[in-house]
Amino acid sequence: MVRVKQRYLLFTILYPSGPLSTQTQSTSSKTPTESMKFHSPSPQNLTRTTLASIIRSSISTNFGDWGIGQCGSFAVKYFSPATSTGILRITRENYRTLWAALTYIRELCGQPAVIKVVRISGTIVKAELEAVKLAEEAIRRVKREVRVAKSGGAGGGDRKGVAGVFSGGKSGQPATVVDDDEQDQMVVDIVDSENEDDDDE
Amino acid sequence: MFYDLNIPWTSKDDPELARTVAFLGELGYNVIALNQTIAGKIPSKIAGIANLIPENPFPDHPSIRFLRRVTIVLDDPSQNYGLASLSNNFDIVAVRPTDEKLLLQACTSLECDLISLDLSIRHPYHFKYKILGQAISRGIRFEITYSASVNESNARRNLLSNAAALIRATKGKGIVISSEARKAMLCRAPFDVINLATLWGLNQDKGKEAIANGPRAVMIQAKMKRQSFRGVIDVVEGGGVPKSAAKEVAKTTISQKAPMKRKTEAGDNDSTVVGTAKDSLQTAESAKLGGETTLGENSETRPMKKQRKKAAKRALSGDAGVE
Repeated sequence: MVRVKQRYLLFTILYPSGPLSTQTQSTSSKTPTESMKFHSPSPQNLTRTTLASIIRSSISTNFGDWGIGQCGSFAVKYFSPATSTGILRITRENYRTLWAALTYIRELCGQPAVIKVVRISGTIVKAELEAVKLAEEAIRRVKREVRVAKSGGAGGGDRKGVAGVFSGGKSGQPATVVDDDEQDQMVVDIVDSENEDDDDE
Repeated sequence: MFYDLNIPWTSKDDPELARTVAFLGELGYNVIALNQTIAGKIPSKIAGIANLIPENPFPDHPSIRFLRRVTIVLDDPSQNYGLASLSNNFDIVAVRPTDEKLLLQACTSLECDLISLDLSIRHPYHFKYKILGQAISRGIRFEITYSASVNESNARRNLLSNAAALIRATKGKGIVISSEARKAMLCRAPFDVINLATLWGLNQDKGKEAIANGPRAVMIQAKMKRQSFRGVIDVVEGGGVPKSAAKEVAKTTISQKAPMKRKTEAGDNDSTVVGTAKDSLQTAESAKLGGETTLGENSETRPMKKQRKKAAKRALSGDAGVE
């Protein structure tokens, strides 16, 4: 008996039209920093199940019944609306078909979106590590930019954007201003929550 | 390094274009060519076509390099397109033939860098290796643009069949993939595009080449056509010795004359044997032009003259061998 080989696709969702949802939620906060311009939290109604049905319909329009039969058995292992990243599982033979279906998705919940596959791996652990690395890198980028903005004289408003990105979708709390130390705390939070999610599976 | 050789130019103040460029930077592209399309009747003096695109249109993206490209839509086989003169104004010259006759003309005789077929419509003829192979052997590459296929399902069908036919006819050689995206949401990340290319019949390696090394070759070839001597020899800046250090180097090379000589004999094919690469190349070029070899502006390098000349000759023969 040969074991079934899987591929895990780590993807991030980019919103090329900018953060529409945050603008409607809190008009007072400024737009996020330059580097996070396209990385906004996903809409609240985008969950693992809705995402799976959107992907399935994309497979069906692009690859028809054959496509659904081949790679309809994928699973959304993890999706975080706050960072707009997620992990899909698919059998090894069909990952390119699923990937193409992801590429051909144009909008999510009525908002133009681009799904970018960041990493393909054979084990879910490696995909998780990459997700953590991505989040850390994003926080580092934003911090650097905030520091530059602060020294330049303009600050304050950008902070809110950072907090919005990383706390907005998780528990539904409104965006709050956080200190640098608390941001470090949040890195740990992201790591922890991912592990919890995987334990659920 | 990833390249997108086709972003339609609108105007400097267009927010959608600025957003598209920012989004491409976010997706991981390093070089973007802004494209100006010219259709219809071509004026008699083609060199008079002005370049509407400024030299550095988006200074707030320091990590992205911008190229300026022109695409001529060919629709009249009787018209004589003097495309060679266009390359003074633009970094890349592309053509878009509209029927088979013009495609043949573009492949065999036209002075262009890129052939960009509109693959989102049905073509009433087959692509043949006999025709396309001539273009490939001249170093001209074919462009596949994918953004129309993201947008619309009919274009997607046509692109799938046309791209597969083109890849079959060219045997996967000389393909360049670019976006031609008018909106930011029609762009895709480089590796997503490579995956799409595997769907069209390219494998992973060739797909990567179509978005990384292929466009680079187009860019470099266009540059060589424009500014080098007969497309073979170019003077490359860099790798030289700073002026203040030149004196010291000259002294040390005199004292170590014997080992240097041996080195020149050993590295026969290497063009950068003695002195700096810049110097030897310059002498090589001036020798090629039939002029006198003018060596060493300052008197310190004069003792080296004979040796340098020898090296230059060697370098020249090495280049001629490549040629």
